[in-house]
Amino acid sequence: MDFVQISAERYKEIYFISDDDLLLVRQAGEKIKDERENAFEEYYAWMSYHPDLQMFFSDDIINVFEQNEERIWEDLIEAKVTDEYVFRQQKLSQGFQEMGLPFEVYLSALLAYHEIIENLFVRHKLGSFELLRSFKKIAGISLYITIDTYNNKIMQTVKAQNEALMEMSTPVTQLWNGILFLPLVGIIDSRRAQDVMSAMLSKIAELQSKVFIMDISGIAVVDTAVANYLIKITKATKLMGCNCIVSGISGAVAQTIVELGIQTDEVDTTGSMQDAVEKAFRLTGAKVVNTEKRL
Amino acid sequence: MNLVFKLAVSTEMQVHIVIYKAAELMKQTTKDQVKIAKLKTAISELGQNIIKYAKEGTISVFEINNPKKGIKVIVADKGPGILDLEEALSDNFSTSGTLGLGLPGVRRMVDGFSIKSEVGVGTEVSISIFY
Repeated sequence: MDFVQISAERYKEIYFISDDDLLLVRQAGEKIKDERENAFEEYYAWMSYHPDLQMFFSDDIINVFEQNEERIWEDLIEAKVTDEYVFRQQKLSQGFQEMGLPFEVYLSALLAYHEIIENLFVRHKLGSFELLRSFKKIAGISLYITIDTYNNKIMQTVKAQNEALMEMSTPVTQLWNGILFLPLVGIIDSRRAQDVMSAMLSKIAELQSKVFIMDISGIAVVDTAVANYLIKITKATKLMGCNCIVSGISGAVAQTIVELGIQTDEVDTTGSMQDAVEKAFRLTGAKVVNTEKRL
Repeated sequence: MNLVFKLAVSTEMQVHIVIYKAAELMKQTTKDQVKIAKLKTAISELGQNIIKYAKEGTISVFEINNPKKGIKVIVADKGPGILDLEEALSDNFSTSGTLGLGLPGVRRMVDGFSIKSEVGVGTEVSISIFY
């Protein structure tokens, strides 16, 4: 997975972390460095304390904490704000996310962990306002990294879903001999218009079709960009010796097209699907005949 | 006039989310399909302009209750700005090879239209549609 890589320097800059902050925490951290076991004992106790949280901290997840105990501990009390640290935090949050640890649970775990260390500072009579303030800033970075990592994953999922949806929605089908049909639904953006165009042209070449019906009644918005695509598609199909009929133009869409001032002379349009099919039959020399109904 | 929502846009998909939300809002008070189509188209045009020229910007949607009921949309960016407003508002003028009907078309379509732009500072277009 690709991360939006924010450097440690950038984090320091954004959250006003000075060298004095780092020094202050390192000095205090040195004095509590032997408390690791106690701190983690308290941390694991916290995880099993609340029944609502407990169910999320499976043995696997606790195992990851245990394996990385030393790292997690040293990173924070030695105030390591380096790119390696950022990378480690990302890996850690990514790992937890994949193991199904919900965002808010991991976030409260981080906060609990920070509080445990703050309490240690206080117990060791180091808990000055300046130290706690510096510590908050530095510890905060792990929260921001976690938020970014989880967010990133969600964004990627959404993007993948959108793409999957677009893939699915250019079903060019043959309606009759020499007549192709494509219902367009949803949002037409530049990428999708390109997809439609190539799907269409290759199908026309493949099946030697003479008429192409494109139904746009399901398109969310018909603006100048979409109209421009439609015109381009029509031109391209004409070059291949195929007539393009655009059907499904509602009254509202017709009115917006006129007010936008789009020249649609070269586009063959019909209001309903039925008209489009009739026209297509006429163009291909086919005919629909009513037969007498026999009961 | 009160703000209903304001969203940052930097992708076509985000513009479409704004269009969807604004149309849903409008449907609560009117069934006029033409007005709804106009609102959607106008936001789409202005939103695409942001993506195309300024890369990112914001779209704010307001409800108007006085003196008439309606919707106002403010589309703002900190992009390169428009050199010649008169030119940009005339039909078939485009610096990017498109139809060049977006801005003039939107102006024809809506009930209220105003535009402010300064080169190097950004552009703000505000439109309103009354029921």
